[in-house]
Amino acid sequence: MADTVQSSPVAESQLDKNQAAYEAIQPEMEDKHMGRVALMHDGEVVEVYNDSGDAYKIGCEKFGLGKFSLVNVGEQPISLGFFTMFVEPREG
Amino acid sequence: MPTFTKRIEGGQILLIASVVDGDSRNNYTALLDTGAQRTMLSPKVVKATGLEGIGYVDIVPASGEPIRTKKYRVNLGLPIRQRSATLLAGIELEVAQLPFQPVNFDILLGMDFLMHFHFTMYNDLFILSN
Repeated sequence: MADTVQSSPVAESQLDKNQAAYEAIQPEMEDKHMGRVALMHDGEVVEVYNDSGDAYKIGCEKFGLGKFSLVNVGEQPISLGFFTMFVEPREG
Repeated sequence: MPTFTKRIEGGQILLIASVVDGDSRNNYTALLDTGAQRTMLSPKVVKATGLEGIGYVDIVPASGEPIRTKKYRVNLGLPIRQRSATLLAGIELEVAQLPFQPVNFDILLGMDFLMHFHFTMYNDLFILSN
């Protein structure tokens, strides 16, 4: 396994906080906003957009890069085709 | 229409791809893979370009639970040499970090990138245009 790449501590905590918050409301989000993109900041959904480019642009303008997350609502785990066999499964 | 032609060698299509940030452009070896759903960057590229994560994506492993990795938004392009200039055929897209460091490439160009271009594979040539 390659070295992991460290983001700034602020960005890291923002991503983790937003991910945990999203997982708590995931079923509700998928009911209401399937296929859209949630812009998240400080553990809250700020807005939901149809386009990830729009969500990214507004996230950068409002909060600055590293201080927000984007979640593609309903996104399934992705396949890397042949390279899938080099991906080690998550433990636990 | 800018067109790019590359000989397929060893059953692989290896290209030069650029990660663009404002005026700076960093070139890396990219493997074109029609079996990959998403474009992925090696840990080396993420570190060298100082990208900030914008969330997570899960990747399906060969077996077991999906593995979580960070995602980024980047401008990614293919330099296309013309008579007197080099054009950059590229797009802005969401990419993720590979959970391992490949040996002979740093960018895995997946279908999310390819779907924006017209490409043909004929005999031992790969032809791309936009």
